[in-house]
Amino acid sequence: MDNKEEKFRKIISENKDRLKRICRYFAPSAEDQKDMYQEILINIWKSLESFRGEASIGTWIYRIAVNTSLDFAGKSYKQMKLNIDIETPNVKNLLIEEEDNHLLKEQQIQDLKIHLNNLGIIDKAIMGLVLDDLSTREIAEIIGITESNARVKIHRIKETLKERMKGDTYEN
Amino acid sequence: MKTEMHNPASDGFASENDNFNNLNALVIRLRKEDDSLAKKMRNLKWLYIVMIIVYSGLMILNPDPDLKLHDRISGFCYVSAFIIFAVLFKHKIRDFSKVDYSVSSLEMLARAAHRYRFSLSQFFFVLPSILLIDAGFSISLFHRLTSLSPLNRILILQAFYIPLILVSGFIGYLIWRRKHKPLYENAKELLKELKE
Repeated sequence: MDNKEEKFRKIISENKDRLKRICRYFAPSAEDQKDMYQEILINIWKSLESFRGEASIGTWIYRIAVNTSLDFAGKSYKQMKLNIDIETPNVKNLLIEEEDNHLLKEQQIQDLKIHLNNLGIIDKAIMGLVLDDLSTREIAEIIGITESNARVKIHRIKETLKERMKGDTYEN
Repeated sequence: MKTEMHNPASDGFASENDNFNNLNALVIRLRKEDDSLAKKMRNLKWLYIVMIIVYSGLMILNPDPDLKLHDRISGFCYVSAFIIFAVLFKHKIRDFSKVDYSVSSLEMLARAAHRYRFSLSQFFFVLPSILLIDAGFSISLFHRLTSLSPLNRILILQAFYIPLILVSGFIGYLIWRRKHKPLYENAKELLKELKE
């Protein structure tokens, strides 16, 4: 086994769960998740030589995964869909209020999912990273914007979501 | 309304054992692709070298006394155009095959927009080759169409060559519009969204 292969296998085995999680966020169906996972692995292989340790391996992996999802979305643009459910980590941070009632919580998550998917592609990608509990600095590094710009964007997206969620609450 | 719950068994991912086998199969496929790409690039490089040597030998250095100076000049124009095309082609292949996904999204999208753009500056890179082929073509045929006046010879040759280049350019534009324009517009749209 040569160095490239060894490095590739190590990266995949250490980041398997993270990669699968990203695919679950961005690909609309089980089949698409599998295709996207394969696509990310191919892009990791292709980008291995460019990894010089300037960014952390985590940021590097996320960059490839997010860029693949953007490219993946480019081919079937409208299909990019952020998938969340009750088990998605950090999803409660986006809910307007913590519901004890399981059914109401499920309803809120369902509404949140609809509103998240009405966002633009980039905003969806950013929210995917927020849901995966990345820091603003890491998100800025992955997307390629300044930290303050990332903070403003995240704040604006959260506000938009809250407004829309509140609208739903009043309608109900 | 029921929320979709994540069920690990129902997602697109395989079991640990299958994952190991899939990863092995993927590594083999990637290795093959790497080797095949390197082989294609090597073959292409040799094809250029052989073609340049053969054309130079036949059309410029050939000691045949029937080969006049104008034939040699025309041959020189073709070989030079071929070398320029070869260099441009090599650059394009490198541009398209080495897409780096590990850069930031902003940079990746900017590179994609640049790669898939349609600009007149690209035409200026090809222009020397087009002019060299025109010169080679005109020089070699100019000495054959002796029944016509020199001006008519030049006009007839250009009347044939210029529409040919324009039609080729238009076909190139149609191919770009169908294949690359959507990618270009998509990258630009995402860049705009990112900079807002």
